[in-house]
Amino acid sequence: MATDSKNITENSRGLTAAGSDITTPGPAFRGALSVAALLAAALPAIALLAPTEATMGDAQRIVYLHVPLAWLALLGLLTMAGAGLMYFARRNLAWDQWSQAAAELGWLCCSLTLVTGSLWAHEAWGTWWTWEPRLTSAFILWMIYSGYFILRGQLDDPHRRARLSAVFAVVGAMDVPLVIVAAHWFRGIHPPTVPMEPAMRAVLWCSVAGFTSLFLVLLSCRRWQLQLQAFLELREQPIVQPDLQRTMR
Amino acid sequence: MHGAFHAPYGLRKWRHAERDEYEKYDEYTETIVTGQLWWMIHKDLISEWRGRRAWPAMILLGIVVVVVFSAQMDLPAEFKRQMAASLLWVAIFFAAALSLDRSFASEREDGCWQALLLYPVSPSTVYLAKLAVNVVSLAALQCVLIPLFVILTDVPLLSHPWAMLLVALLGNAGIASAGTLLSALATRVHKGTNLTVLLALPTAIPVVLAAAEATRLLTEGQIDRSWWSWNELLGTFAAVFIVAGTVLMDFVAEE
Amino acid sequence: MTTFATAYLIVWFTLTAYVLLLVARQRRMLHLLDGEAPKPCC
Repeated sequence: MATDSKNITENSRGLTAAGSDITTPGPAFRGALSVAALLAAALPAIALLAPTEATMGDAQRIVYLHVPLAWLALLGLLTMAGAGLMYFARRNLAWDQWSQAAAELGWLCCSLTLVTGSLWAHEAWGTWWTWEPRLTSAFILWMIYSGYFILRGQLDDPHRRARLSAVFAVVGAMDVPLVIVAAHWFRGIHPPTVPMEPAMRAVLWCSVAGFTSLFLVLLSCRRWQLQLQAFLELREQPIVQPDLQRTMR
Repeated sequence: MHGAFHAPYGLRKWRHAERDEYEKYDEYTETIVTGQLWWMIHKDLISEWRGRRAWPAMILLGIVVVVVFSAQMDLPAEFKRQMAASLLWVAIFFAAALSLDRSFASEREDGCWQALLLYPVSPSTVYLAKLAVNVVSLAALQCVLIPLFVILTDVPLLSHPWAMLLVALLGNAGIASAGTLLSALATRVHKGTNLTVLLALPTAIPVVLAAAEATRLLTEGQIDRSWWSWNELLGTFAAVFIVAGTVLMDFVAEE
Repeated sequence: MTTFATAYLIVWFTLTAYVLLLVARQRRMLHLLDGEAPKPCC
């Protein structure tokens, strides 16, 4: 079993166990990682190139961090839910690994969204927290991510964990648009389109592109790592069940 | 072999069906499904009435929360009115969470879950039956809490009774639909921690927000377009989650 | 400027810490798989 290069194992229900088709990332993948890292490191330079905004001064530059992170938090949720649905379709645990990786990165991006948003709010409105629709929706999204991890933590069997967390991911993904609508209506604010100069908008798009590529690269890295971990766990399982071992002795 | 189990209302007509007549079963699938649904709702309501396990605790929690909140609200009338609606719906949500957690409790014990699935009823039917029971229990909760809140705080919640009824029903349906699905999910985690509230809270926030706003608008007498749009949001939420629950319940109930 | 610098540093440190954690786990796992390392692709 260890010598198979395609390590596909199936249990009696015909469900593919984790570890199907392990591959290591090769040179092209490492190249992608270095490009993404360069982009991320270049962000302060990019952000400093943008013209300074009139009212808020340099603190407005936080928006170049906050907007991509908020977008990635939503992307993480969509990926999680999509991978969950694919798990229901194919019953391959690889999809559950994509879901978990997306959840981890999404949770990180959501927490960072809350932190950067709160720093920006302090500069803009003088208070660390406010029930502004975007921050409210971000906080609820954060709660959904956290609930997802707590649910996963309580379950040990891989397929049951995959199934139930996929259901919760789908529930969360359907809930978030409703949360966003409710939060915006609650404050009676229809968010005005931010008046941005073309230069600022260009910088924002660069930032979004940089963060998204970093997210995608980290997602595949993390997912591969989860696959490796599942492969290791599979290899470490006893060949004979413990109670049978006892009777055989 | 037939007659070995007590058939529910829908199936009773066909107890003597011959094997050849099974194709006639399809015509009456609707009768069978609604029969099963009615039977399960009936079973849950009767067992609650006889056992009195969940409703007293839920209603008591609701009363305690409402009393504590109204004690904090010794404020001038306009502030009271602004806060009242939100506090009412928070109280309803937390009391509801207690009841929702118990909605699958009877299936958690003694392997009843496996027995329920071995019986030829689809998980979606189980979900719809539990949803109906939860809607009824939340309605009972609201019947106690809303008048109590009016008495304690003098906020005119019942000034437009039909409007309040609509908001209460829609909010009820929203909390019950999401909560029943998540309670089923939490039941499948056999570790005993109360996951339902944790999972249901972020999910049901749009309902609490929308219902609180709609209630606040009706206490101020503003039954206008914005009030209706809040109701539409509530209705959308309930519809989305009822459909989602019906579809996703199959996946939750496996094994 | 300090606010932006603070925000940037927080974001950068968090993401770097996460990447370093991933790299550390990966090295450990590859070490465990040593001798049975799967074939690289692309």
